[in-house]
Amino acid sequence: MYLEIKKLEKVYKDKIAVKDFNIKLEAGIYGLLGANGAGKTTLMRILTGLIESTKGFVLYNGVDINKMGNQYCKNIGYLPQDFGYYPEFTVDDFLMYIAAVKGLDHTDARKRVNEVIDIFTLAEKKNKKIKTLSGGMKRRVGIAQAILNNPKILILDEPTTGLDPKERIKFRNFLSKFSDDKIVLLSTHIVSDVESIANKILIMKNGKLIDHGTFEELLERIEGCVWECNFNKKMADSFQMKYLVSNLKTVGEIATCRVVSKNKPTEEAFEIKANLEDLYTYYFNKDGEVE
Amino acid sequence: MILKYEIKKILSKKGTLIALLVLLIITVCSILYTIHYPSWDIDDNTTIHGIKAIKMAKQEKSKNNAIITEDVVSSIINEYKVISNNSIDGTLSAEGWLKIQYIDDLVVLVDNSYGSFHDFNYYLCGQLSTSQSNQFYQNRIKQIKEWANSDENDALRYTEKEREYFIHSAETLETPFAYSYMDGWKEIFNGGALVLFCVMLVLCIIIAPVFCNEYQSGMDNILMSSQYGRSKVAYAKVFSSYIITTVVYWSSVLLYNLSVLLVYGTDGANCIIQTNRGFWKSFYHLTNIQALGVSLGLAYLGSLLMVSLTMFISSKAKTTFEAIIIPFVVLLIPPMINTRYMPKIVIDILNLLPNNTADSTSIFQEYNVYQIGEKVFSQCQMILIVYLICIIILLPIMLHSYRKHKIN
Repeated sequence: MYLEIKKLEKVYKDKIAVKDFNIKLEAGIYGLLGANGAGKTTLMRILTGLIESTKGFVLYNGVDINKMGNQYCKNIGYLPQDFGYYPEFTVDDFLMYIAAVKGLDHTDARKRVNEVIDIFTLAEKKNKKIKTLSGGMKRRVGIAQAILNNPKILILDEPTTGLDPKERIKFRNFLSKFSDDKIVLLSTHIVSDVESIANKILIMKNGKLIDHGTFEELLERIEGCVWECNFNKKMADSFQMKYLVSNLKTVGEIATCRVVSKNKPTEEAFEIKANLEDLYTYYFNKDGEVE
Repeated sequence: MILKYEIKKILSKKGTLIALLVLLIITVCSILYTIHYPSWDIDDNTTIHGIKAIKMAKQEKSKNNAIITEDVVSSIINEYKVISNNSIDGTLSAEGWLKIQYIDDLVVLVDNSYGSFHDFNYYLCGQLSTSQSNQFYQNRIKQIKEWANSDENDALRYTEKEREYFIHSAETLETPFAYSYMDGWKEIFNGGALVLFCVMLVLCIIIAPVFCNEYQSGMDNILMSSQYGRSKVAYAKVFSSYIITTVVYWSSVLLYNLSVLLVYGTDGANCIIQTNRGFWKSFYHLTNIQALGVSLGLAYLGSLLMVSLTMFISSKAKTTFEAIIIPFVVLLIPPMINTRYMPKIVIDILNLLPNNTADSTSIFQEYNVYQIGEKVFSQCQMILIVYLICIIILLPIMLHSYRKHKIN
């Protein structure tokens, strides 16, 4: 099973949202990393069949998804960034409705809804109206609806928004179990989520796929370019203007910085092991280059 | 299963519940008004109202139930003269007004028959002689023929075929007429328009979010990426809207009409509408109960059309407000337009708009016809044909519009 994206492009009136995007996705979890406006949501909407690309193809097992129609939708589970719901529906009503829309008959729908309610610990809230739930609970309902049809391709746009740390851990654990023979593509700004779940990371900038690989492969790009320095906190602003800073912590009068730079920024700086936040800073600085 | 939840989606909204509650209040108020406003004068100082008045009217007027023959017309003329103390111009004293209540309906019929096509004079009965009583039915045919063949402006706007249609209708109306106490039917035709109009407005409000709410709430992202999101969901939305329209419409109209008939009685159901006050000149050959059936059927069709139009706009609109505004304009603006100096084609189009189906009095009283080729169609027939065609055209367009919706 694979999803192949070939020379994908999406052009709006005044903007190119996705440009020359090429990748082959096989079973596993892919983390899609990119700044706001990078084109992640547009890409996901093309993959879910919600919008058509201007150029290029998306092939599912070698077949163009635009020619598959409803047959492709059977394999899709999607959680949009702005999860819409029906405020007056209970959790159970909502999930049963979505199950029906996804093609499950009544018996299968009932069984499957009960299963996802258990998976996401929604049993206590199942007869409550969705509008009464907290943001995190609503998000869980959103993720639950995405897996009702046990999709082969699960696309999650900012799935952990609003989840507290405990819920995020549960979500990661669920996803690890779920993704055995499935393609999971999730976009997020929370690099720690990508770090701990994704098998492969796709870096998207200005509509393009600028890099991809495993966590280790990507970190090799900035090996030897991450430093830690300490200085007086009054110099913090000027330091940030001069260097790419991925993290700044202040304790008393001393500021401790993580800097991404080819050259040692200060005499006292020492090299440290890179992490995904450093990678994010490296790719999404102003010029896209390490200085 | 999808259908069940689509119905639930519509009915679970606060706006829906408020709209239905308002409709119920208006319907109940209309019933209460219809029941409480009638009055009956017992004597100079005593007037009864409400149900007592209705019962009194029924008791007294029913004594006059009869087939309207020459003898009956004669007796009405005589009785009027006695009540008016043989006044030359037929005017009544205060005492006369008390007594005329009992034969008021029949007096109006006589006045209609012996008056002119356009004018009505309540005191005319007192100016007639019993030797004229054999002209009761011929008068009607003569009135309509003379008017149709005249140079009056309102007659000239009709084609020759249309005028022949009116004359033929008058000549073939079965006589003699049977008169019966029929206040219930009178009240239904006069008072039902408000309920019907409100039903249409409320249905537009309830149904407006059916498609556009998915766009507004962001649910279109999930629905459109699901197996049946563009197919079964679309059909379920349409069916659920029509089911709700049917239930809301018939509950409201049956509540109003059955309540009124329960209090007033169904007497006069099989009397032709020409014996009902205000319908003397009507060219429809219908009894009261048939006319009610036709008017409720047309108003139901009008409701289905308004709901179809609302759904069509909803499939294209971004917000519920946009989806409501056009149906509201279609319903509320036309009745405010003064058509006095407008060309016939404009008037003909305005007469086909859905607001007309709420007003059965106008439909049966007015001479609205349409000539297509050699055939003349009544307003009722045209509404039936045009509305069915419009609904059939709107359905696939709205479904296509929803299916092709582009996510923002």
